[in-house]
Amino acid sequence: MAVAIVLLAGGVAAQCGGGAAAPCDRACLEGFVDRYLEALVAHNPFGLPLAQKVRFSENDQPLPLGDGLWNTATGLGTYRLVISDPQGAQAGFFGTMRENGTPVAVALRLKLDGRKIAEAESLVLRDAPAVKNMEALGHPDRLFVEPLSPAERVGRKELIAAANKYLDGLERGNGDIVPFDAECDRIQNGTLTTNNPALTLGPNASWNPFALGCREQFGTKFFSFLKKVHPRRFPVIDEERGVVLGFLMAQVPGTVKSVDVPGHGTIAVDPANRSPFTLDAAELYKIRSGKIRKLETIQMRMPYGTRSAFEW
Amino acid sequence: MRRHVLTAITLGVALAAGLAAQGNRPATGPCDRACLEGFVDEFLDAFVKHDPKLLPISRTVKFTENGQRLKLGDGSWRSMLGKGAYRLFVSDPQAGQVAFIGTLREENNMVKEGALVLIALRLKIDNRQISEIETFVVRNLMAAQNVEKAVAPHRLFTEAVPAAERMSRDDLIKTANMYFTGMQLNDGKGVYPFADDCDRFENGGKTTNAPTPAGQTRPDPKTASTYSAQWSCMEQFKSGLIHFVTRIRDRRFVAVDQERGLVFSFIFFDHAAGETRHYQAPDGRAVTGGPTTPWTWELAEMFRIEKGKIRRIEAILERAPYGMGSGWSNWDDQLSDKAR
Repeated sequence: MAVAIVLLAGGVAAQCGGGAAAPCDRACLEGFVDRYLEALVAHNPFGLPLAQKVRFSENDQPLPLGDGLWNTATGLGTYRLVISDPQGAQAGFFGTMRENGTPVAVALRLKLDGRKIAEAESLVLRDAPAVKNMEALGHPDRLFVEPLSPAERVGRKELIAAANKYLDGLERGNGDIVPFDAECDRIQNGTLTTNNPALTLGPNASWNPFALGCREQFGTKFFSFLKKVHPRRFPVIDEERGVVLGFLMAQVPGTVKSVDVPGHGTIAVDPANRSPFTLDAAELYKIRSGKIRKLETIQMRMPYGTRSAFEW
Repeated sequence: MRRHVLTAITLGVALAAGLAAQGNRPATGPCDRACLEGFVDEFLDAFVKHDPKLLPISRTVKFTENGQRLKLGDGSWRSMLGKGAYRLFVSDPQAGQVAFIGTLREENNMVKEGALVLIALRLKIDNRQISEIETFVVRNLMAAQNVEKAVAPHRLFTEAVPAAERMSRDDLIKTANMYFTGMQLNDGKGVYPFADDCDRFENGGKTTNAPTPAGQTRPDPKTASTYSAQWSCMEQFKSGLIHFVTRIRDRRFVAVDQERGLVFSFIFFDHAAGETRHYQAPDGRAVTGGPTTPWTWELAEMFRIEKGKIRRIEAILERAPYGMGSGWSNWDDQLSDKAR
């Protein structure tokens, strides 16, 4: 009798969400993200459907599942986007939470093996002012949830190629090699860093890269302190919406002290970018008709040379 | 003729290089204290000249900076300008290792001579060649200035322990490890091997027996809710108030100097920041303390130990990503609280 009960219970759990054999569709993937976030707040990963071996990382440090934010999450935030990739059996979350009451931003990637979580990769930005800026935006740009018309859609390969070109352009200081939409904008840690004259390099700055659009800003070489963007990964792809959730690390050796801005002159690199560090980021790309329309990052400084927990 | 001159010059350079590489050390035999300290000097000289080729290195040399494996010549190899005054060595001829805490000057647009930074360094020497280079750079100007102010290490770090009182390597490491074990989830009930005059300095600041500021009362360990730098080593540990340090891991005791009673370690202090923030002091009163977010300190920490008791502790530390490893351990060891 006891055996029968256990078997029945197992059968019910496996079916939950639409049958174990069918691929996990958008609703199913969104359900996994919800359950994961709820489990985080409850500080209990062990009620989740877990693969036998789960790889978990927080800020690119491999940790036992249950450590890190699992000990400290106290609630969900108000900023929230879920990225679904049924074909790749992966889901992403890009949004905010509360940690001991303080706002934090979280980028999360879940990889499923069957209907079980096999990988949970997370970046947690502990920078309350930045996270408050994110929440002050109200919600992630609607562009990230609006489906593309069939004519605007491109395949997975093209989506990845466009996102990768963006990182090439960042690395080389060349916007002309990137398929930018003319209306392209970028938000970094809750701040609009393109077409935003209100954001400046300082009160007495004679020049403002943030007033420029995506293409023009790359062309100024302003980001020359980033010597190499590696590794680059584009693991979660939502073809229907033209959204890619990628992870990247940009290596800043601290050796670039100034930049010659074409047509302007020499600009000193910010002191914060003049000693070695690695910029670790999750980046959202909205790609319409093969062109990059909107970007949003959650990013943070790490020790120089930090490896990705999932690829190097 | 011209060619001959060139050859002669080349030979001369080679000879000079040969002499430089040998320094004060004989080319063979065990690398003793002077030999090991000589390697540190050679390393620092090469480091501030941005040129690893100046060093006698093994073909398989491994280099890390702040826990990350880098190519030799990368990272701080590019940015250091000069050596500082403070120099503290722990030489371990038996292990073929030398550890060092000191100051350097790093390129900085605001400060012409460079900004003062702290460095902890470990070199492993095999057959008169450097086979491992571990660096930990703390970019904290106030900390570096505090350390530099001392000019020279405290005499306890250079004075020999009387021959009859010297402890075994194992006992020295065991004693140092009791410090970490006593701090991890500190409950005030452990065995804490502190001498009565024990003092600790962290990033150049005195964090034990600090004077009580004018107009203030010295906190009472029986009623306080956080530990105080005004307390002694023993009072701090017996208070049970350092409980929020949940895990001291990847404990690597890399250099032991029996003659001076010194132990040098690299470790990480994790603060899980969850339920462990709420605990009971030894008398049962409820206390809440410690960081509210997962927090890791990366540390180089060294101990002067006499007759089984810790007399002086000196550490440099900086925040690292929670759970970060040293670059010298596998994942299991990285998360383990075992002494190695």
